[in-house]
Amino acid sequence: MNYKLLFPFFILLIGYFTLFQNYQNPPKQFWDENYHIASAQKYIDGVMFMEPHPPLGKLLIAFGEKIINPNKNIDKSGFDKTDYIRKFPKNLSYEGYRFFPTLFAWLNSVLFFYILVYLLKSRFLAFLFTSLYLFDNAVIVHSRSAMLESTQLFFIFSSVLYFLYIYYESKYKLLNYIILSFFIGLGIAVKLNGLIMILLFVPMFFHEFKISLPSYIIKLSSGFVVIAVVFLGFMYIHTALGVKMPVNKTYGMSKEYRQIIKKGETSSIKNFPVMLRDNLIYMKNYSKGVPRYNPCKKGGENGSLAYTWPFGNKTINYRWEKHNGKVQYLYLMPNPVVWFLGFTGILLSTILIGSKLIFNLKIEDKKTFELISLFTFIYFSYMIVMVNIPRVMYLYHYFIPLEFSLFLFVLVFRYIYSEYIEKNDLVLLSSVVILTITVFIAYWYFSPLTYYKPLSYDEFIKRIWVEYWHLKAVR
Amino acid sequence: MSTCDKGNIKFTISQNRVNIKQIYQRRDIKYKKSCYTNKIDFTANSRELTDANGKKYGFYRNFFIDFATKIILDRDTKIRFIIYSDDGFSLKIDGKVILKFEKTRPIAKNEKEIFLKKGLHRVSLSYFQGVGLLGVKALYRVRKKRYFIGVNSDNVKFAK
Repeated sequence: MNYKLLFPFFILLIGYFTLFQNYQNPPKQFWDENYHIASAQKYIDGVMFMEPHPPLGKLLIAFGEKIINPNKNIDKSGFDKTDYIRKFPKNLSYEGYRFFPTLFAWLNSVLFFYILVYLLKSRFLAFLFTSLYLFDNAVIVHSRSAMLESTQLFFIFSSVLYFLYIYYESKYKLLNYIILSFFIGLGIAVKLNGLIMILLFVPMFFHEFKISLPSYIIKLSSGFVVIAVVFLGFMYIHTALGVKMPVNKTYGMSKEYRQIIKKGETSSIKNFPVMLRDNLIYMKNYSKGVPRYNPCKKGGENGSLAYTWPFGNKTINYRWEKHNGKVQYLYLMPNPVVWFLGFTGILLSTILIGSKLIFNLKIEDKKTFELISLFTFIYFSYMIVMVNIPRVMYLYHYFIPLEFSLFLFVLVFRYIYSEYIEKNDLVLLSSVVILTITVFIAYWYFSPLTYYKPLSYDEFIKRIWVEYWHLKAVR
Repeated sequence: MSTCDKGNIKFTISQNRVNIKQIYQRRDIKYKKSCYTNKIDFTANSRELTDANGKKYGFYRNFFIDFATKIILDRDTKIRFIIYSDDGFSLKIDGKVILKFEKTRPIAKNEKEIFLKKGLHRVSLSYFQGVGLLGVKALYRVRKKRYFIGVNSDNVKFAK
């Protein structure tokens, strides 16, 4: 057996148990599933609708439901008449709707591993540090659902991994730009915040401008064309599938759009610009209607300010049920060890970059330092955008920068201990094993909140380590 | 008789002028409000002081609450006191501190079992809320069953 496959095999095995197993439970909707399942069902039934998010994530949710088809005997016609399902049919199975997001979450573990192999140049250490993805309670609970983030992370990890391939193997051909752009385009086609991955082209400029700036411009332009084609391609599928007029809502569609649907011409390319225009206007206007963050909101505010996200503020109680004096919770709750390591990664990388800029610190490992600079730049660029978004935002909007903060932790680790890593120093390896065990223990301790396991009041409040998590026991 | 007059436990809420960081800190009271309740359970709302019936008291931060009641035992009893609080508290029986947490913290539990002789004993609980979330709940346990302080059980009665 190829020993190189042993680590990914074990990662997939562990990931099956943490991320994939039993994903159809609880068989009750939570958080944005009320929206996304409504959208997915409309794709299946051919009902036109408009959406604040690009379509790829929801298309995949629909595809899962279509191919697994666990609800063939259940009347879901009500889903087509609303953007937000208030009442779900009894015995509805979530196996189909949740399939692809959960599958991508599972596969992300292997992508995460291979990214770390590039960053650490040690398969064993990459295997151990993949625990930072495998055992993060927040990513797990949110991914085992009919939501968008795990699907987007799959394309984001693919983009990062392919970028690292280009960077380390010095593959700067046009085809490489096109493939990278394809992955970036897929991430954007799930959620627009995927645009941040365009910053991966920045270090390629620094490499290319010494060789040929016009060549870089051509390759970069081609890349942007690919991104646009991918995005528009999925928008085309979205509009083409909407062959029936919606009930109870018009989404502000123009008269021309109505005519297109009436004539049954939604799949005609010549009609696409009109349909695209109406969808983009809807997306823009939708965001204006989303409320702002309000800590005094009646019933409690689930949103939180972006600069508090690295500290786990604020957890969200997705759903709960009381039985026999105990309560089952589904809580968006970070693994505090993982998120602390991510914060440490940001802190140390900022200090390292600052030392270089202010004190002209001598850089030993140039390539690692370049990656530290790039990922820190991506992290802060994303966070600056988030801080300036006026609408309410939630803790799971931190997932993309969280993963970059973990890459940074690993990169700084590599930067400091490169000599020990190359020598396979036993003390270093043992320390990382202990760290991995700590990550696992924290995951295990908070896992009842991830897997809907019952907790008594006392058991719950023991898990309130800090107030700003805003964990609140149900009485 | 208003709902504020009912109950075996008198409590006084004191709004402090400055931040409170620990239970024994010198008090600088702006105003007070007194009331009665039949159980110490103010965990319904973690932002505004709210009792178990949903009544809101208009206190949010930097206040003390002093609860006082009498416990009457018809025989010598081993009794466990259980206090949940955010932030700190101090529990006295007959003027002697038996359980306390002095500083700020997220909601957490403290408990202590003591032996009380038959007869009447004074119970006083002081609690403070600093900033952030709040809540206090006080129970007792006899013969493996838990009750709210203020709620009578087989051989335990409460009086004003």
